[in-house]
Amino acid sequence: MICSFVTGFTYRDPGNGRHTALGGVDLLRMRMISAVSGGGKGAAADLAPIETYWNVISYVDSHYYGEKPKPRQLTYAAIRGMMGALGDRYTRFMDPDEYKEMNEETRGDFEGIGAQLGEKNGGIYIQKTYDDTPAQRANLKSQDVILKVDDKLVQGMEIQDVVKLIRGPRGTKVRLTIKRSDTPAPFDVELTRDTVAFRIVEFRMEDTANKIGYIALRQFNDKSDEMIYEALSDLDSQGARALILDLRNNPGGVLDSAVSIGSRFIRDGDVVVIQNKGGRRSAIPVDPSKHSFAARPLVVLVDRGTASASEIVAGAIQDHKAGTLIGNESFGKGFVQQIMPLEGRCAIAITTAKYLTPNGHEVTLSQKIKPDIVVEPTDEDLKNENDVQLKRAVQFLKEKLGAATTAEATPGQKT
Amino acid sequence: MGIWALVAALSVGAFYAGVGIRQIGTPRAPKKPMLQASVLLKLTPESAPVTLEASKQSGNEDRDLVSMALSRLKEAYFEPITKEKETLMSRGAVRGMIESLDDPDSRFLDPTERKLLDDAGAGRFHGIGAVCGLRQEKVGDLNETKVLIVAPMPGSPAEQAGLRAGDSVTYVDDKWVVTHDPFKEAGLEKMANQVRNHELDALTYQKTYEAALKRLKDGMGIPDALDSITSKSSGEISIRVQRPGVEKPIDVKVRCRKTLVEPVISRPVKHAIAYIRVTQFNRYTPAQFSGAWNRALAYQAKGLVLDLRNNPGGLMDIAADIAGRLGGGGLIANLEGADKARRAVYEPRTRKLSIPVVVLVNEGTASVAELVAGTLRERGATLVGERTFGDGLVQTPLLLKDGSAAVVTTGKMLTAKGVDFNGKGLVPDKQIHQGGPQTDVQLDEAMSILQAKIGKA
Repeated sequence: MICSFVTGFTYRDPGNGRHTALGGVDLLRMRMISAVSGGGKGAAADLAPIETYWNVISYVDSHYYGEKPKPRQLTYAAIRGMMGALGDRYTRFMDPDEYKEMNEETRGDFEGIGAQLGEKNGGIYIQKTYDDTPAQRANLKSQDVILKVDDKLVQGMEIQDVVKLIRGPRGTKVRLTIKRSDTPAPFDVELTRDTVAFRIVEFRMEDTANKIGYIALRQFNDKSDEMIYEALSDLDSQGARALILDLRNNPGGVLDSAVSIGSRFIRDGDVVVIQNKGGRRSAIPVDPSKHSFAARPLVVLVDRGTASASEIVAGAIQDHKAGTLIGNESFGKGFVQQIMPLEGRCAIAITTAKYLTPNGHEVTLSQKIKPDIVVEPTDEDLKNENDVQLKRAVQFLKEKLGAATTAEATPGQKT
Repeated sequence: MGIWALVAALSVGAFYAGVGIRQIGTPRAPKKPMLQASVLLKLTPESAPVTLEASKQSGNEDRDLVSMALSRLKEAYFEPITKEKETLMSRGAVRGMIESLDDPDSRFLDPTERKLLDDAGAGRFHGIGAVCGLRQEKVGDLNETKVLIVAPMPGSPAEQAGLRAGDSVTYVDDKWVVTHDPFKEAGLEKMANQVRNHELDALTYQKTYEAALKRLKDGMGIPDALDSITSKSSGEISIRVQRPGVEKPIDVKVRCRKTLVEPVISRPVKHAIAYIRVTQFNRYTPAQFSGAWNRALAYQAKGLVLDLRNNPGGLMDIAADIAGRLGGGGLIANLEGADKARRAVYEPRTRKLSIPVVVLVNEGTASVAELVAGTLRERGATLVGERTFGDGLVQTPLLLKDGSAAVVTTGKMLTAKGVDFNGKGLVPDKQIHQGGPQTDVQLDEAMSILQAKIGKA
């Protein structure tokens, strides 16, 4: 036994060891002190988090020989570790910096360079640059691999940590070491950070001849439904006959937003089924107040970045056959989180429910939402920013409209 | 005690299980070699550390934060938080806190890991039967974390395979142990400049980059390597080591099993000189030492060779006991604690051995074993052999009731006269390298020294 005398606690292990005196030197067994009673022989009892945290932080405070971190830092580490032990990557602790960052994201704008990052083969690369941003002005391109940020190698880092390194207060500089496939050696790019406006919704008439409208939704936050309404309204007034709803790279957001927006495209039935604590399932029905516009042929674009609330909407539309899904498989995150602020400007995100599509499918990493039509862009397509998935959607809707036009020649239903 | 066996939960700052090299780009200040020593803190009452009550006030806000997080979780999490989950969460909290200390010697041991460490402390070793440690070194431009065999224990598969104290492990089961940044090693930065200056072609750069990347991905993280070496109870592993002074790497195949090590090994008295080897300072050591010494006295020993080679350490009070028998009681060591105040450690024995003692040491003599060697030297013994390992840090575990433990560095040992051997080791009075396996030149030297001393009437 690594017998050791642990001081700092007035707890004594009541006679749990043999007392063997040897020339006046007590063997350690009987002096073994554990933080909570009954711990001597390693009897397996349960641990209570608060008590354990307190014992250890006090112990470190009184005994640690090295440079002591601030108690607040230790506490953050403890909460992080505590929540991490649940094995649910979405249930996590956010320290004040992380919480601020998260709020910035949901609010819409942030301070950085304006690039969307992706991860591939263990490397971090630029998926796209937003319009009118430092990244675009510096001529960073899609598929550029980021090797270093301010001389720090990013290989092996989590993408969110790389984002953290790149973001920063506007006006400050950051240096990226980039490897571009058609340039022989890596090169450095220095950028000055700026405020990046993150537009939640973008829309346009994608195909003016056939009146195919396009709406890209980047996130489900409190403003999303309102903005979708405006987009639909505008496109409707332009005479849109078909719609493309782009949910690619939409990591999700607020559940209510998903239900509202889903309701705009589904006539009746349920949008989603929520499974709460205790396995109770409750279905959330379509909100008829959202039926502001007539239904029309719909394509939903999905890809590996389509997660959570986006999967709810895509899955509902697919199950109700209210539209056709085109693209790649979705992310596979069938969980709903609630963000709860704590004291001291921190917060925790807790998975409060699992969700299922209206037809009862769970959405997990091993069971993602599969598109009705699979379109996989090649590396060439990506490099040249050739959006083959969008093109296929337009083609699909053109065909559908073509068929509908012919059908309209005969008296028939009108939606 | 010395590091019995480093197990997988090692929170080595720079490396994570698998391929994470997150911190390779951030150079770390070279650290002292890392071993573990648990210690009996014979603190006098006035030095008793802060109790729970005193620190309650300042910690209340922090505790409330944890409390709040936990209660929200219990209310809202979509799955029930069972007692089992709470235990896992508690362990997670401790692990998180210990890792945030960023001290490679401090770590959290889950019940299995703690058991392995307890076993080693009692002389029951697993894996290859060697005590391992990590040492940060600067090799040219590179920051390297060497995975060292500190001490192959007697009778162990490691010893049988010919592994020696000081060997550094480079490959385990044909996988490279990721001990440094492969990109830096390949000189990619320099190559990039050369490509830009058209001194080198891009294809070579690309190939080199990909090779370094592959090396990283196909490699084995240090925690996994240590786990393979120290905790398996069966199966064969192949190990490649680099031996100081030997250019070519050495490949061995080692069969993992349990190794039971006697703490004291003695030989019959020869030329009136007793030979007692102490392999670890554990709770069985004093009784066995006593037995060996009494036998030696019965055979009229007039000198003693105390062999502490490849002794990775043990419990401080046991070491103090043995030192006391040989050198007499009184101030036996000093301990610098968390508050950086030095406290004296006393051993109550009154009589000392009056026969000459030579202590055999080598680079596998670590932690409390070094302390004993140093203190005995201060009381007249002679040290023969090679410079000792150089680990004076002390770790003390906080035992948790679920069987896990939080091991934290709690101080530093110094000899009775205040010599700090941490990071440097002790240089023997007579430095001799060990010869081949057939001859023990260090022992021969010890015998000559003692014979000369005994001869002087």
